[in-house]
Amino acid sequence: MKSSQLIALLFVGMALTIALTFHLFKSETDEINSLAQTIQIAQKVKYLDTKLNEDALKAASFKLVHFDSLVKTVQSLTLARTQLNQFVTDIPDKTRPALGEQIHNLILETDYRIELIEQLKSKVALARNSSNYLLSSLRARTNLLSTEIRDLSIRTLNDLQGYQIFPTPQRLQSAQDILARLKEIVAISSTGKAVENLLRHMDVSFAAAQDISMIQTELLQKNSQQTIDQLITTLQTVQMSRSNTTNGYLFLLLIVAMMIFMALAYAVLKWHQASEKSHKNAQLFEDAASSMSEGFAFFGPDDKLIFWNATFERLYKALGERLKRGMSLEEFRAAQKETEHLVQREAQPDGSYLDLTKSGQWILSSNTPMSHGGRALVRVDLTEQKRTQNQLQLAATVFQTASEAMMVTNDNNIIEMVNPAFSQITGYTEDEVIGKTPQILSSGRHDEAYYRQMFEELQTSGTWQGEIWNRRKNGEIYPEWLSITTIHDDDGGMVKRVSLFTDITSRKKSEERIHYQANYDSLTDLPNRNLFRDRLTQSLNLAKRNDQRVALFFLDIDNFKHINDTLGHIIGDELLRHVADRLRSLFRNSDTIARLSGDEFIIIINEANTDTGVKLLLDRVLECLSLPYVLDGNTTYTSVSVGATFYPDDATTVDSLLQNADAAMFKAKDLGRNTYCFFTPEMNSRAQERHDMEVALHKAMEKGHFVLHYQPIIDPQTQTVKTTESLVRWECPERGLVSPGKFIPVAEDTGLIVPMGEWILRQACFDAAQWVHEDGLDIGVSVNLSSRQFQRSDIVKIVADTLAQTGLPAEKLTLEITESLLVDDDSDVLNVLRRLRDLGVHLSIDDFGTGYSSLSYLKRFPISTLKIDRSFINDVLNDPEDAALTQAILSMAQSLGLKVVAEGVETQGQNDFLKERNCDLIQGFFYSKPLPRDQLMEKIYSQELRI
Amino acid sequence: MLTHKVRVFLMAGGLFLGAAMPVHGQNLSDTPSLHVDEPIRPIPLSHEVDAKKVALGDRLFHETLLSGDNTVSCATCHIIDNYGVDNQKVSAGIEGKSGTVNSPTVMNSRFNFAQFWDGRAANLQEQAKGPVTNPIEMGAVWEDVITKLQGEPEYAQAFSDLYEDDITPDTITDAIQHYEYTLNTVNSPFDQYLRGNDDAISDQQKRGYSLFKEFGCVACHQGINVGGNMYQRMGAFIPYFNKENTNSKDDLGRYNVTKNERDLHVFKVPSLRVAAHTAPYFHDGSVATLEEAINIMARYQLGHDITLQENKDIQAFIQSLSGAYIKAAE
Repeated sequence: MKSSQLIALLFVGMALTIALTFHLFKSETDEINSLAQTIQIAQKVKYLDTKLNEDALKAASFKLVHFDSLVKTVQSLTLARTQLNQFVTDIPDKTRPALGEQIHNLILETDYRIELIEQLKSKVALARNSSNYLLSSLRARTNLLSTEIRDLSIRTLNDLQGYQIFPTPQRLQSAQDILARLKEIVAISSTGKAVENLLRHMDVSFAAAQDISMIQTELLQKNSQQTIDQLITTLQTVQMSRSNTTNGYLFLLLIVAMMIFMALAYAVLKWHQASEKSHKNAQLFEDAASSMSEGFAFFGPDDKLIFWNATFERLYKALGERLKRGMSLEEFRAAQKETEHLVQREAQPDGSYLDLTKSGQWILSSNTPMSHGGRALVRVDLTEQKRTQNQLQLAATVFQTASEAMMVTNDNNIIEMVNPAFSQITGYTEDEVIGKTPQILSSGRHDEAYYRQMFEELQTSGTWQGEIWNRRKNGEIYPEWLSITTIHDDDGGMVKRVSLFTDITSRKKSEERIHYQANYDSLTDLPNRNLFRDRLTQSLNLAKRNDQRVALFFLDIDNFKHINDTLGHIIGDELLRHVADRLRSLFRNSDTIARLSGDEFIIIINEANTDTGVKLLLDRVLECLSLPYVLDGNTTYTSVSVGATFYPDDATTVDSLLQNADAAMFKAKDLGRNTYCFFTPEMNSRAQERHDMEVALHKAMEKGHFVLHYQPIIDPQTQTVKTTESLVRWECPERGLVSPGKFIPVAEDTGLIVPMGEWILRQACFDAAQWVHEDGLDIGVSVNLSSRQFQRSDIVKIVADTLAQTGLPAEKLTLEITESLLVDDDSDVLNVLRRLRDLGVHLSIDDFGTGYSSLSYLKRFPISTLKIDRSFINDVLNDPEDAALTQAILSMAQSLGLKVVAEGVETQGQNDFLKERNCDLIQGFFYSKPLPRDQLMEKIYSQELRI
Repeated sequence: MLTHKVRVFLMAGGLFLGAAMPVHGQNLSDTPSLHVDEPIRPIPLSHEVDAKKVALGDRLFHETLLSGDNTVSCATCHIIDNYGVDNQKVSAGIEGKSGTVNSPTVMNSRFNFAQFWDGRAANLQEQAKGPVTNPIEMGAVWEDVITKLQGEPEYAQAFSDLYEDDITPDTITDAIQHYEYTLNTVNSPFDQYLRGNDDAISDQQKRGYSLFKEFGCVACHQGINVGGNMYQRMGAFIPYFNKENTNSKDDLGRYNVTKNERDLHVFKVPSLRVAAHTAPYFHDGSVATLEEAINIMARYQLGHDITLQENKDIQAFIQSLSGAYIKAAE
């Protein structure tokens, strides 16, 4: 064989070997890819597993209107399960039973959880149906049921709903106890088929609620997170060791190359021996060898250096001139040792060495003796490979396991590579996005200008960072924090862009939470005043554009204060939540229900174009909110008063609409509660009047426009003045003398009554002290106390201080209170009254007979005087009933040892009637109208009135 | 197989076959529907199809060679122009043998979460294998079917064009599955209503829908297919089956699949999409009219006794769920 043919053959051999090795390497890589895919699937299972729990929770709390989304999750999980199963059957290495077992376990767990989900769906449907039935039948058939059965049913339903939300054994027990009682009652009473059906629905509800709770617990406990995490770790370990095996193949490739070089060395030796044979062939070889990237040198049988190529020379640059033809192997080794300081040397199985030099170079060297004498030195510089390999390994690990999504695009903006986190966040698998542009992620939330700005920034600075809304495969839009970096080539041209992003939905959610707190009422989850104003503004704008009507309902709970005071704030709060829930069930999502404050709710109804529709809605509101409430096991009844107004009929601005609705609500309260009232302009003028009055009252207080008048109270037997009642008069410069009937209610509503009352008390005591001490008159004074004064101030201290400051003897002061203060039977009120009595002042009941005229409670209170209301006295001569009542009051008061004052006596006849029946004291125009202090004194001195 | 994919757009009141891009904003499926919070979702107006596989599946669906004696095809019992059913109590298989359960419709079956009354097949491909070898349905042996199909040059050609594996039980049923994917009834009056056309259904149908929700029917019959996405016991509220009327193994329902007593008499909740046209009703076809079926459901599933008027209103609503099947063209 000719030498040239030999060389050609060797080259072919080399090429074949490399191809073969590459193929081996390739199949290895495929396997690593399949491992990577499996990791991706496992991560998907992990995500779906969590999603399944979320969906199940939503389903169990009736938040899913249909099951399609849940079915989708299950189907994705089933698909992933099948793919995992496929991997187990395809698993090439049976020596990893742990992996197979882990996947098998995961599949079993997943199947079990899917089975649980199927059960859950059936049970949720049953529970939902029965809950629905119970609610609607309790609403609709209330008349068919006895109160007791209805109350117990409502309590059962309430407890049941509580249990559905928080399934604790206590709640269940409580609900079951009530149900048992209900069943006992039904068993002994003759009830119809409706009740039987009701009970059956309750049983079904109970069974389903218990089943749901059990399934949910099971689902949460048997979640696959641990199994999946274990599996992912195992898969990653396997992947790592596979990559190491791949490195092994890389070495194999080099070994083969070295063998070929040795064959070449043999050829060189041959030519050297027959030195003159073919200069041309030698030249050919030298050219080939020079261009090799491997270093190659050959020492002849006499151990003298015959040949080395350019790469070899470069590797041993440090040897300089010493590397020359004829250099002995001995000399070479010594020089090598001197110049190249080894840090590490790894012996390879084939007898070669992998050296790490001090300068950081990795060199694979073999010094192989040839069979015909001589030695071939092959040096392969692996520094670059080693570094790349390390970097690649690191990069690959980071890429595969990072929780940030990564996406690499080329200069045409085509996606080339994505990592598992990308798939997890976006929902797209690698196959679905590679070859596409990132536009498939676009949410449509940003306009063209936004992207143009991003692109410009990328062009100029090469990077971009910011928050962006993208769309997942399932259509869901989510926020991400995205940073894009451009990778340039050596000439500065763009090669690739790397995008790194994280899903910031949860961070966004907490931001939204903050927004929520600023705009929603935490007790009821309804919009607050703030958001209400926004929404109403929006609604008005929209209505204006579309020429539509908006209705506004102002709703106030009747007797809420009473419920709060008697049952406590916790129950009061619970009532507010119930009211909010019922309101939510009544209105459309497009309407806004807000809680303004306390027990005030407001509702915006868009497109309220027909009056009939609005009236029907109002009827439903009243009906639904007056159904009994079961609060902490007790049935409570309440109702609401609603004021309604319309845009644009009644007003066009937020504030005036709100005022209108408020005024209409007050009118509804006036009409007797549990009713609604539409706004009319008269209300507006009344409201305006009240407002003006309020302003004027404040001014009057400041300027001292109030004066006190005193009406004498006479003993009819002796015709002498015993005491007086102080009455406030307002001399308004603009209005003249204003009737107390007009301004007292306004003062009561605004709270102005408290300072006004204090002023009256002080002035009356001052005047009385004067006539007692300076004029020597034995005349007392009585002062009216508003119930607001009892609530708002320490009335006992104020009375005591006033008496001390003015010097009026306590027994000369009578405080007049109204019946309503006593009706509540409040121990606090009783306490205050006792302490007032202990000061020595008298207490009298004003307007007696108009309220809950029960003499029995008078015994419990330290009262000394009753004042019979003028309405009885008016007709006492004409109406036998009034006469009888007056007679009754008089005799009962006498038997209780109470004095009686008759008010409003205007005629001789009335006076005589009362005098005959031993009425203690008489007050009225018959004797005198209320007079300023000085005029009263004058009358007394002129003997018109006697004392 | 990226080729042959076309996208079919079916428009309101007509048919529009076009290329893959939603041009001129004509794609109705992108229009936001006004009734989004409803428990029923409209069937999409467009879907991707692999036209060649669909054509092959169409032929196979109507192919009597798939049966043992070359007399019965899928279409014998699932008559495409008759809402995918034969309106028989139970269907007749080869040699006049009677089936044991009522043939459900093939219409909209892609939206079912599982196939068969007891849900024993996870998808349509798996389902399609069932009747072919069932001795009382098509009564065939796969090897014979394959041999017969190979004998037809057109089939041989079509399979080798489309599938690497040529003719196998898997490729046959895959093609049938592709065809069945196109059997959807779209743009029903109720779907139009869901998409925002309030006038698409009558007042009676609206009343019926209200009752459907109020009585709780919708707790099971919900989602895109108005059913077909969950299991429920027949007699969930009051037991429906007793010793006397439990006649066959089929009455045991899903128990036959899971062997778990919990699943006794549990069936897949059927879709109501074309229920107005698929009498008789229930797994055994024992109930002849929709009215009767609604009464039984109300009583045994929901614990309601409903009035005739209410029943009629619900029937009217169910009528509104049926859309038109429009054959996909290449």
